[in-house]
Amino acid sequence: MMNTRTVEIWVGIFVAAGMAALFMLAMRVSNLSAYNSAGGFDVTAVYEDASGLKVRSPVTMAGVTIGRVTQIRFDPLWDVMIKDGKIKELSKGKDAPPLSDKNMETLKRAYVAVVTLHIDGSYDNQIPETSDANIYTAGLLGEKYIGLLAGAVTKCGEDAELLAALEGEKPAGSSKNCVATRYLTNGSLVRKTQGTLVLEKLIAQFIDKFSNK
Amino acid sequence: MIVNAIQDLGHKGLEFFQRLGRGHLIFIQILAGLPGLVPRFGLVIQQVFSVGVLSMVIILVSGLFVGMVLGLQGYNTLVDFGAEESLGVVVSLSLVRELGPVVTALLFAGRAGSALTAEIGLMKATEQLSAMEMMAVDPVRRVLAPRFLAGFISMPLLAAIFSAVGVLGGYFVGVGLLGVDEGAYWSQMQAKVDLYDDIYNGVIKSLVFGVVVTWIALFEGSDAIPTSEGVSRATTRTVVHSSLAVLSLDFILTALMFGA
Repeated sequence: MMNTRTVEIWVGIFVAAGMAALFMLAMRVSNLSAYNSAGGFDVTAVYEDASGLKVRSPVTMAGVTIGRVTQIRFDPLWDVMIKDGKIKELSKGKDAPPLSDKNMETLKRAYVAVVTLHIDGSYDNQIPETSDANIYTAGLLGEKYIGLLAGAVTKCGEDAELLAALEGEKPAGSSKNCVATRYLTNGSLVRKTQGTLVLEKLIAQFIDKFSNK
Repeated sequence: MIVNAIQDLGHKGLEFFQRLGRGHLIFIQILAGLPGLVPRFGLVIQQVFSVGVLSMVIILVSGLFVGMVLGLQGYNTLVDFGAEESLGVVVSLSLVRELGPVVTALLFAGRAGSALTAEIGLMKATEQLSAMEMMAVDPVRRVLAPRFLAGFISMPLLAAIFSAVGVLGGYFVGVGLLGVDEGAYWSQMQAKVDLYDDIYNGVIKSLVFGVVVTWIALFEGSDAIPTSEGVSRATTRTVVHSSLAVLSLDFILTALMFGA
């Protein structure tokens, strides 16, 4: 048997090497260094179709990952107003007052997917609430992710009045019809979204268009 | 004739359950002996040396070569889809989730488990264990518990070394030999490998395998028939049983962790 000192030195080297390997796996191989789940805020976005989106899918802005999807669930209790095939305004609850359909083409109860986005805390109160949150595909066959597109900081026109009425706010700014948008923070709702583009639906629309002519 | 066959079957069944019971009794005794190791941690360090440090060479070499083979094979498959940038993901996920814990556990059973069984079996054959009992030293606490704790400590460290060296091996082959972009190798890996889902679960796997392999080795050693033939049979059984246990447990753990 070797003497105790040599044995203990070798065991020390072994344990240090094992720890270093674990540390390398944690820091170099995994996403620990890139993404810190502590500190951040949750934002809700509502999609007509969230197929392909998964929990932990990235949320990006200008191509940079700023958060992750933390929850996707089906919720039949959202009233959604749809204009040009896009979700425009919505309110929650079975007994919620009906939205005025000023400027809108259809008012219908849509059955939607409610997605919770967890965004890094350093972007709290930085992104306008009028931003778009669309579902995109990375590459041709890649995974789905949510891309945020910055919206206007002030909003004018009839939409603004509606927005203000919805949120119980008075129009702000010099013009009567203008309202200052708020910024995304914990519990905010992203109002403008575009869900997954399903290939079959696109093809069906395409065929419809030609067969109607 | 038929009665004899039925009796034989019953005898084997009873023997199986007796062995199972003895195995669990020894496991409980070992667990009960663990707190007594705190004041005599030197015993554990000695065993970490013979179980862990002496297994390090085989782990380092096989980890490197497994990673290099993964790099070559993964590259050949991925290059057809123009996705060779994902090589880092393929190499690291296969290593961290599966090959790291499983191959390490198989090598560990062959290298350290068989040595433990042979050592304890010979201690029993040469009546060293009985001599200890005569001196009022509990052989479970003095001999088995330190070896068990050493296996429990060494296995996750060895698996982590295996995975880390394998990732480096894949890097040498992929980036050095085949010309995959270095930045893509690491960044794709970091984007896809999750600390909790992948690495944490891999460590849990290796802890479970460490417990199972060391337990089987210690039980087979202390349950061996105290002859040279009995010890040789026990050593064989250790390697066979722990390999089977590792592979079947790996399926169960994977189903639990990564969804059925």
